Amino acid sequence: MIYTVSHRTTYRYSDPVAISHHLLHLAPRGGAWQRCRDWALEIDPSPSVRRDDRDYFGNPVTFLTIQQSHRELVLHAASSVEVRKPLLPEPGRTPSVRAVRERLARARENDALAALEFTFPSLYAPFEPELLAWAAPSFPPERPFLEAAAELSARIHREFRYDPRATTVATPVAEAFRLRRGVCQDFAHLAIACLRALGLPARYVSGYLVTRPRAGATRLTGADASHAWLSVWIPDLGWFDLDPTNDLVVGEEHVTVAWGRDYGDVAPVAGTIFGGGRHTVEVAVDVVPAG
Amino acid sequence: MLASAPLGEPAPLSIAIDPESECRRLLRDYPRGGHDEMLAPDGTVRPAWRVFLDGLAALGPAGREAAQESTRRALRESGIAFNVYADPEDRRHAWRLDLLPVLLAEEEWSRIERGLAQRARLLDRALADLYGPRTLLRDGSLPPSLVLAAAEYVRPEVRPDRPDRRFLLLYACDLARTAEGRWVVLGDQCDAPIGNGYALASRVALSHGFAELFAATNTRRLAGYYQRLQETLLAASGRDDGRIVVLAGDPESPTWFSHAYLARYLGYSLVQGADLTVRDDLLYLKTLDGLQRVDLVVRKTPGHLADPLWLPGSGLAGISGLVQAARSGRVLIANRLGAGLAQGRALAPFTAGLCRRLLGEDLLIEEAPTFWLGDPAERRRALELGLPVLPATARNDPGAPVLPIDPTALSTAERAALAERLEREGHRWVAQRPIAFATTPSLDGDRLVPVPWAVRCFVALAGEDYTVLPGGLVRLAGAPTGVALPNGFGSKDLWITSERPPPPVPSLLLASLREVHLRRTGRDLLSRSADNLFWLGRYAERAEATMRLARSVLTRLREDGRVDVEPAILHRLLDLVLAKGPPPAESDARSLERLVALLLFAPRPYGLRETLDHVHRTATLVRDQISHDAWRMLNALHVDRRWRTAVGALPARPTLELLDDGIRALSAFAGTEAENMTRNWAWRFLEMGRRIERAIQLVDLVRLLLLERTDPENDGSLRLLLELGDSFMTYRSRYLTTPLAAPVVDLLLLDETNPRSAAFQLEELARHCRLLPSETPYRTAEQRLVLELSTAVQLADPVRLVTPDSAGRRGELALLLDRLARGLPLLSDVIGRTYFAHAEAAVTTIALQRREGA
Repeated sequence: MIYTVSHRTTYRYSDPVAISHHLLHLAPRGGAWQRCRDWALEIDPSPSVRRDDRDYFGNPVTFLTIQQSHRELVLHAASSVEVRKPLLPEPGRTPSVRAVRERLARARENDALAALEFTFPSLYAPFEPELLAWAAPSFPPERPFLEAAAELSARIHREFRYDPRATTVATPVAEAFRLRRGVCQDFAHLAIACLRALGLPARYVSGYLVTRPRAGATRLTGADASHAWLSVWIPDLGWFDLDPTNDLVVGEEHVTVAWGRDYGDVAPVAGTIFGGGRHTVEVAVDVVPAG
Repeated sequence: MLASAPLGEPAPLSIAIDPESECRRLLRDYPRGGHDEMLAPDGTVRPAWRVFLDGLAALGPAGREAAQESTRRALRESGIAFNVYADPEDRRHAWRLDLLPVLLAEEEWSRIERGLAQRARLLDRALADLYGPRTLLRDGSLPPSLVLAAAEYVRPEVRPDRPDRRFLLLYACDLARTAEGRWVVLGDQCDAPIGNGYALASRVALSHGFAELFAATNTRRLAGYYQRLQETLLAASGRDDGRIVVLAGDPESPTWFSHAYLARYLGYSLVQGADLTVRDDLLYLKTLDGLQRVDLVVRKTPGHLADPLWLPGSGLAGISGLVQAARSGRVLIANRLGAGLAQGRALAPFTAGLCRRLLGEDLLIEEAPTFWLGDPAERRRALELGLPVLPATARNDPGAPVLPIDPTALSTAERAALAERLEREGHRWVAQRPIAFATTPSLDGDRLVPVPWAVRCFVALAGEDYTVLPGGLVRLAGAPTGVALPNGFGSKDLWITSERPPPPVPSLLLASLREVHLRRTGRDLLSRSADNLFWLGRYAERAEATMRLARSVLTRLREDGRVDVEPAILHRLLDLVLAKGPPPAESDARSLERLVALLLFAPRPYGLRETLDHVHRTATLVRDQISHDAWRMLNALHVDRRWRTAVGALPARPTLELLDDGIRALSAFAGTEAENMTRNWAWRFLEMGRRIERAIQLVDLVRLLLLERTDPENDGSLRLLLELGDSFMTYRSRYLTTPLAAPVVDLLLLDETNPRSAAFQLEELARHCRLLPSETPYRTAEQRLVLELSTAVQLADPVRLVTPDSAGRRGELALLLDRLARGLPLLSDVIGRTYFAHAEAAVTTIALQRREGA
């Protein structure tokens, strides 16, 4: 499947911004099931410094410095991405929870080392004892790992309510857990914090969800917005994505932009501004099947 | 009096001391136990100590007391403390330096030097691998979780294509000698080694106290090490005149003094994150003269929190874009971000293997026995043994100790919780077998007693290899055993002695003192420093005004004092300042003495105590901008404990003496400011602060003692006004009459030749404002404002100002005073906005993070 993606972010400031630095994760990365065919970024006002690079996790990243005084910043990323349907292993036949842990304990080769990195708490997915207690029943040591992880994702979908007003970007995962509410970002962090509390590898994925409203079909929540989910590592088979917000095994309707330990590693637009007063943000995302 | 002897003067020698019997007296009952630095196991004095001990004995008790006093004074004047704002009497923050250094023979030290240089090479190569190809993780040399779970692992620095980068330019190592006499490593300081400044200040102080002994023992000097360090840093900066700054964190942190002292010694600007900004992938210093490019940063802040953009969790202390600037290679950071990975005890259990693997050598100095708790077997063993547990990458800085968890002191439930926690995150913890420390003598009255000790040693890159500071920061232990560098029981200097006199090395401190004004002329004045200098001027002037006011009131309360004004006027006068704080209690309000005490000694806004604290705080922050003498005067004022007396505890006479001393000290400060400071921008901002404050104080006084009085010529208030305006003598010499309103107003408000008049202050302000950096060809806002105020003053006619109208009002004077009272604070604000604005934390939003949708 080929998609044309348009992601436009507009910042408006009440006072002039004298200088700003930004770090962008707006270019879809390549992966086992995805290829970015084309990508372009328009920036207004034009930056004094622009560096396109890759971050530690291999995500394309753009660093900007805007040195001219401005009250509005527009970032428009446009891309063409080819997504294939992942070949999912049979969840019931994946290695057991215990086997995953043991494999990580002896990690020496690059893929296991990379997975080990995602078993430790991070800024947005810290260790929380309540999460451990809540998640543990789904993870008996002998249970196939992907089956257990899928159940965790389903439980989050079942027991939590999608509520954009309940949390903010600063809400700790423990609070979202107590509220039993939140948005995709909270649910992804929750699932990741649960898995890592159990010593299991999980990473945060930032991207887009395609929605194709059909007659009579329910429209998927968060149509044409940026989206977040998680990915778990199965020894020898690689990473597989789970979407607790929609209780989906990720197929060819998720376009991946970047992955990292949590949101802090892959925020689409981060920045430090000097001046600016109050600001508002407007985001418009369109993901359209090409042709 | 010894206390008034000038620095460095040799201690007076007592007569009739028999050195041999005095030596026996010092050594009597010196206990034998484990290894002692002074006494060999057979009870003889070790060779390195013989000359020193003889000299110490020859000084006699009085000479030692004098050396102690001289050292103490030098320390006090250096301003050494854990916390720059701290009350110097506060023992928690006081720096305690033991009079006796630890002496080590050169031969022994050269073995340590080789061991430390090897260790620096080893850790540097280990870091280069862990931030490069990571073969150490793949070949099993290091457990991966030790690295991958560490908060100090700075991922943007991971560059598999760059395996040869240097990570350690600066390094410190904590060493202990065990009771058996072996040297062991207690910990590594790789991120931003701290404590150098304390070692330097201690050496400077002790070499005052023991000038002759220092020479007689052929003790190696420290200056050569710092010269090599300067050369290394300059070479690393990549430019012949590269700008190097020392980046420190919070001025309230316990280690600020150390950074400030080191920066001053090396001649670099001491900066905070807010003083730096990134543009065009380059790092710049914000100065009054615009942005100045920085080539190298000596970093004293945690590397993993250095950039809020690239390193989430950094917060506002970081510098946005620093990682990008460093990645582009156009600014060098020493140490490189991420060096903190090898901090503390993290690598200890593995260094022997790493040394063979990376350097092909055996480790020269062994590790204190350490267990890495990420390994299940090690963890079980350590917990069974009940060994103290500490975070693997813990810092252990003077004033900010690492507190190990002692499992044997925990309840059963707490122990279980610890075990559970270590099960989960053991990879971030180590356990350590306590070391029995060797001892070294300390002076206790007139005899020596052994105290346990350990030392922080400092290492720097010099050319291709590492060089070691011939000295260190000795820390005394409060107990015979410990797991980390002891903390909180005082310090000592470390002397490396030789048979031969050391080659002469000029001290850098003197060189940098000589150079400081030359180098600083305008070029590098930080916007933040300009701000602090301005306020130092205001606070110093305010403190002096408050003291004068209190003195005038107290003089009139003495029994033999002049009764020339009504008590009601004195009340109003005190009220001028007291009204700016909370109202005094009813019982205090009736007594003038109590009100004066409140004004002087109570911790209240605008009270003298608070003003003096502000003076000290701002002076500390701009110490490198004011002269050494100016600093010493202000610091002497700060350490004078009489100012901290309990409210109301001092009777009138000693209070008057105290006020005279205080006014003298502040006048002396103003004098050095006028006579000893180069006319650079630093001086200009200090002056502007002083001038604005003096004018504001004067306007208040004229209003109170002239405008608001119905008969100022006869109720004594004019005389008081002249006294407070420090213009009484001038008036007498000119007019030879009792004070009359018109000439007093002329002298205090309008006369441009009187340095205490409002007109004079405005004239000076106008001159400073003209010379400030400006980008406009027209008059700046502050120039216009000064012009407006000084024109109003120049146009005024003294007789019209003081002559009441038919209703008894002096309307023109009221108008003029109002204008000044409004204009002067406004001027202060305008200067602040124009010149200090970007000194404030101007970052309004950190991480413009947008929440993701569905």
